[in-house]
Amino acid sequence: MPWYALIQDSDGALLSLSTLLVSPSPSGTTLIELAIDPTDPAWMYDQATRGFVARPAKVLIDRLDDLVTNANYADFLTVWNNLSAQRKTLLRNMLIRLLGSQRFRPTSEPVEL
Amino acid sequence: MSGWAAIEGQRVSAQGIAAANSRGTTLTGSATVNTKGSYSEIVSSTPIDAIGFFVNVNDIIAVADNLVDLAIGGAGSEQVILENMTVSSGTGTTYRGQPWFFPVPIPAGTRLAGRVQSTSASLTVRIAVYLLAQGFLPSEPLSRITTYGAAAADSGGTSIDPGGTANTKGAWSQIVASTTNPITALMLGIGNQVNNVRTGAEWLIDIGVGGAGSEQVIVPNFHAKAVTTDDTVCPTCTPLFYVSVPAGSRLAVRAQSDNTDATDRLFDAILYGVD
Repeated sequence: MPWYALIQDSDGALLSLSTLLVSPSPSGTTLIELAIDPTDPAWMYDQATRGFVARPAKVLIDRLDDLVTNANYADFLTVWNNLSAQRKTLLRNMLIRLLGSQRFRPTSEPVEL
Repeated sequence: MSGWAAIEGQRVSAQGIAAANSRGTTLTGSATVNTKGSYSEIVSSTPIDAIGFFVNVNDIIAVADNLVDLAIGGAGSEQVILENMTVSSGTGTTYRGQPWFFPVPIPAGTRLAGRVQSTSASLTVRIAVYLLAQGFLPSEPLSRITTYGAAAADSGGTSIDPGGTANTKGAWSQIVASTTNPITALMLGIGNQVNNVRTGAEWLIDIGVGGAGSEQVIVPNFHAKAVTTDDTVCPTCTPLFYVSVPAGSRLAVRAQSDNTDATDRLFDAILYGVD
């Protein structure tokens, strides 16, 4: 079952996604047949190219990395650098348990919970 | 001075309650993800003639998208009356439930059962059903619920993309090309796409009917929101809107959001038509 995209001729804006063929398409629009399922979140409409492109992967930041790279936590880094490799691992594992589902954050989300 | 109103006098009967731990009945998903688990009995025989019911699914303890069926009938002969109720949890242990109401009758003496599928293997949820018996002059109940737009492959719905321009309505996404049954009342279920790292977002959601390029808005600007603490788009369903839609109609959903992140602006939509 093919999908169709109804696109506004003037600026390439995507107006509607449909499995029904609309012929003729409304004035000022173009209907194109798609080779992909546009309701799959893996695909994203690109107005500039008037086509579908792969949706970019979300960039996540590990709050454990924040602790050792963020200048606001220099005191933690001072302590961290004095730990042996074994103790770093033990502390890291405990922090992973403590952070739980909040370990990873989007780039726009604040570091602190 | 209070008066006696003819529409009062409803009885409410709670079913599936496990008083020993203050919860509903446990439904367990299959060990295979996105596969319906076996039915669990909610009640063997409903005690009252119900003209409608609330169903409340709660206590999801994992990041998951889930689809729940409510069925009537004997063991091995269950008939689904509510198919693929969408319940999602963004950050584990935070889903607190939201009652869904349907004015669909369930006769006394009916066995109720439920089952669930999930993106998380063997996930458990709790379900309770609240039966509403008629008052002195009851409203006319409806008879069936038809689900449109569910995606069993990922225990979700139809993905809705508001697009990359903030606060501007995106494209209509078709939920169903042709409705199977007429619709007297319509509800939208909202899924979370197993996104447990959402940035905050607000949405305004439209439901429309009609062909591509000719969609007419029948439910405008339903407000939903997600915050970073629970990473779940809420509310997870709209109330029932009494909009009349003929069988054979195309239904679509579109939205706008203040969040333009390519992943976080997305949500799933499922429509439930009642007639």
